[in-house]
Amino acid sequence: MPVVPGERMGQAETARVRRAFERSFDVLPAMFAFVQEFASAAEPDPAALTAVELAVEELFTNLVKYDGGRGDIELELERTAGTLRVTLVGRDGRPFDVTAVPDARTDLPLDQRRPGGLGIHLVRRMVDRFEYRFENGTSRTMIEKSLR
Amino acid sequence: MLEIRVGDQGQIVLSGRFDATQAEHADAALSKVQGRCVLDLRDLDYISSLGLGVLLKAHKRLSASGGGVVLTHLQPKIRDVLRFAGFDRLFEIVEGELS
Repeated sequence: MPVVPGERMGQAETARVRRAFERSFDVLPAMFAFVQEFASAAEPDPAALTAVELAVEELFTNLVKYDGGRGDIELELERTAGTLRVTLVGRDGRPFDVTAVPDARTDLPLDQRRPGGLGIHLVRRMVDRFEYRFENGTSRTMIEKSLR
Repeated sequence: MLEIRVGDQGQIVLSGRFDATQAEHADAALSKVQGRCVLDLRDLDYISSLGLGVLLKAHKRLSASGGGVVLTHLQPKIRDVLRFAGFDRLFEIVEGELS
């Protein structure tokens, strides 16, 4: 995988890669492989890497289902020291701040629980930073996670 | 890839990765189960919200007729996801072998 050398931030150098993925659930295995390969240089804790993969899946499937955008979704990965930042870039969609989605009601009894609505709830609990921006028709959803 | 098979004790063994691409396949398999369903998750490495939704749907259906889904042998990272989803309050979770 070609890795673009980035600038130095303090003592830590940032490496970056970017790849576009079709708006289809079928690309998930390739997306996971892309993240795993890039993260491997940081020798990630397996649970931390799982958290990143889960966040990527939830945010990607959310964009595919709801943002109404066109064209590919880009995944930007940045690795600085032991931290991985992932940004999903969608174009021509509607603004929808996923960070403002309320938590799921996980306290409800079984007969009142319904499948669905857990994705963003999980992301919020499994990453260290979670941000959203929308400018000029482009959404940028970013998560950051320490891999150690 | 998610593999679903019946184990030698009648339990259903899920192995691999339960992501959005596997939800339809898993839902079809679990919709055939009746009564009390034991899911052995020792080789399940990953589950996302769509996978959780499939488990919840099966558990609600079976519980309505007096059965339910029992989860066994969860890896710590799978247990964390289930706990964040509140599933530890909804499902019977067994640490070791069923007696």
